[in-house]
Amino acid sequence: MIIHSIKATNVLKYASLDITNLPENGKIAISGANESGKTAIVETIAFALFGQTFSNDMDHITRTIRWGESSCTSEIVFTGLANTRYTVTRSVDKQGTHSAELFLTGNDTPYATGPQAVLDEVIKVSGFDFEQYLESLYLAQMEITSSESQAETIRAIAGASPFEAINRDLQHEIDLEQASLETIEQEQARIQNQIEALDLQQDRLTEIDNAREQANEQRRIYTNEINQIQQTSTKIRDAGTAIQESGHALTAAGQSLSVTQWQAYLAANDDAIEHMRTQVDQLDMDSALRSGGELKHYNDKLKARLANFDQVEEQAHDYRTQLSGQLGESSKSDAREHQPLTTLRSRLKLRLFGQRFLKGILLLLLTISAIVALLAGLSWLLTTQFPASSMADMVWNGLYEMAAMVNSDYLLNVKTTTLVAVILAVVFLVLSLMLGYKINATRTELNVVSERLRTVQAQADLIDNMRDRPLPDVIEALTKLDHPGLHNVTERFKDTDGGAFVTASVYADHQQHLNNLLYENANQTAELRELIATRIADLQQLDEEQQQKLAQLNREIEDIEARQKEAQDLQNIIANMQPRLQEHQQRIRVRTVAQQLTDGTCKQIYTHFNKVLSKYTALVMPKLTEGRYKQIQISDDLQVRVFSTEKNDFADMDELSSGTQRQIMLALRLAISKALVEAGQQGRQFLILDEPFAFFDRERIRSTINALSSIDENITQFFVITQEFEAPDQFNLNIECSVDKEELVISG
Amino acid sequence: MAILSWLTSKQRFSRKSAIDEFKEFAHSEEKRQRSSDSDFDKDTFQQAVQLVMQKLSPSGKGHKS
Repeated sequence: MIIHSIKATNVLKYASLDITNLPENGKIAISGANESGKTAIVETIAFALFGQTFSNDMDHITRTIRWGESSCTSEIVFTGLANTRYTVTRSVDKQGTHSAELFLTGNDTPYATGPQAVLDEVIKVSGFDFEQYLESLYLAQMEITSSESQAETIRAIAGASPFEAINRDLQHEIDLEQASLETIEQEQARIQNQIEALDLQQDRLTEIDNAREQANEQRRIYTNEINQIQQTSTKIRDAGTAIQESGHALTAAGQSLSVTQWQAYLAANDDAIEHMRTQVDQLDMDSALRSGGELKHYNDKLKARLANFDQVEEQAHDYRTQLSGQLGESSKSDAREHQPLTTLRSRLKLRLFGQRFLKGILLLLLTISAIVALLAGLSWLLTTQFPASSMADMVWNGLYEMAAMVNSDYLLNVKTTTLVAVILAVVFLVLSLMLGYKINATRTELNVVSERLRTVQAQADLIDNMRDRPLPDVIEALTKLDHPGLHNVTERFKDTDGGAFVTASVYADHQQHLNNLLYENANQTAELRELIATRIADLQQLDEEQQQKLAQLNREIEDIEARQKEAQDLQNIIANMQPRLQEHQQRIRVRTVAQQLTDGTCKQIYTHFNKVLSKYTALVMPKLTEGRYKQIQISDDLQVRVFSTEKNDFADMDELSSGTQRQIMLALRLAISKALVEAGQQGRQFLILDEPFAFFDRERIRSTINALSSIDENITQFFVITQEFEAPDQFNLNIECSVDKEELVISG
Repeated sequence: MAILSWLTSKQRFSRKSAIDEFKEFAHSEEKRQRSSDSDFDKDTFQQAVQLVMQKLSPSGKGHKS
């Protein structure tokens, strides 16, 4: 692209700008003091072509309007691709109304209308867009001479700046994410410290559980022992009561007790004492009751004494055997020799019965004989002594009737009958009297036998029931029996062992002793129960201690569980932070990968860029530096090194003077421009150098200006902006700007 | 020519746009990482690519207006 004319109204500094007939091949100097409008001229080119300038982008294009004006216009005539000449016009007002038209020069019909359409067509016919224009064709002073590292410039030139900016942006985001991450991690650490400060004591919980189990087990043991002791205490109390009752029953019974009753009492006593001893044995306590005490000893002693009654009983049974013979209870053969009393009594009774029966018969016969004798005698008397009486008649009549039936000789018969009857009566009377005597003798004998039998029976009953009768009575009765052995053993029993049961005085002593023992037993029982009560109290105290220990353990567990819950809550808070943490971590990972990608892209760009520079700096550098430097090399870290012919080696930029550094950077920009123009193959091209010679000495400026034309055959038009030129004749056109001038009219 | 591979990637004179430059590199990098032995986190990689693309877009911060 070659610029032929630049016209504008109210653009930036200029109320009117009219530069025409610009040389197509040559250098155009734009000079003037600061604020004189030098850059405004090239800015007008950019405004006309792209609708934006180096200083004002599209969104702020109204700033291009001159101060105090409401609108601005521009018109540029340029030669584009295919060597075609175009005219582009553009206007903007304060309201932002933006219009543009592109014409084929000499043709009134717009080639394109509207800012966007014109922009698109300008890019097509010029061969570059605004960015490429800035990077390749508009070499601003700040890019070339900036004290900022050359790396920044190279980044911008190479096109890595967007990635560098993104990389910085990503790093900033990573830093923010990292800060957020650290904030969360610090919060987590703070919460974790709180959790650790809670001192959860995980092992302690197990210890407490074990201790609780032990305490509960101990309590169960204590409770069982208390219950067992209480039951035992109750049983001991009942046993004591039983001992007292049986003992007092024994003492209250007096001497009227039988052996069986004595044995029952003693057995009851013994049972009560044994029961007591058994209960006491279950206790691990010292007590006289453990062995049953004196009462047991005394009871045993009494039992032993009573046992000696067996000897008496043995003898009594022996005697009883004899009595059995007398009572007919024995089936021994000697019964024939010693007839049992019962048999004897039976025989006597039978005999007495027979005698009484016979006597009855005799009395009957006597009576009959007497009646017969009386009747016969009376009949005889009446008939003989009082024959005329009526009575006699009646008797006679009766007798006649009877004689008629029997015998007619009734008188003889009456007399005989009377006599016989009298005789019989006498006989019967005598016999009856004799039998009566016999009967009395038999009765007496029977009475003796019966008495003897009763006595024997009584003795037998005594012996048979000797265990159930009051012992003193039994002993007293036994001593009276006619049995020497029994008598002796009974007497001995009464005088020795049996005295306690039989003899009143001895019995009284024993009774007193028994009372004393019972009293002592009661005291021992009471003492034992006091010991039991003490033991129970001790156990209850121990149980209470275990309860307190359990309560303490439970409180500790509650405390630990509360802390665990608090810790769990804190853990939940930490866990709830994890998604945010992971989100930040993921964002960091994404941005780190993005950085790696942008770094890699930059590196790729720089690699390509280096290859380009290797060729084009080799072409441009010697021309611009009069052969002193030949080639530029850019390292991966964007450090520029330049090959010095004097040194015959690459030199770091730091080794060069500031002027040389800027000259080399200018050469670099020119090499890029050359590369773009050559690559674009768009034909001739203008180039704008905005104050490129800062820190250049006069000779270097001169040589550089001279070298510009030889950089590339297609770069034919140079706009060189500077404050002043030592040698204006080096330029084909000099445009002098002035701070005071609002209008500039130049024709080349 | 190497210069052409860089400068004429478009139909006409133009350096490749930043987006194209990045797409090309991201594509080759993804291919390289997929074929490498190291674990390739596709999601993270895709998110990173989308993030850079977003920033390279005209509304993104990295876009040079």
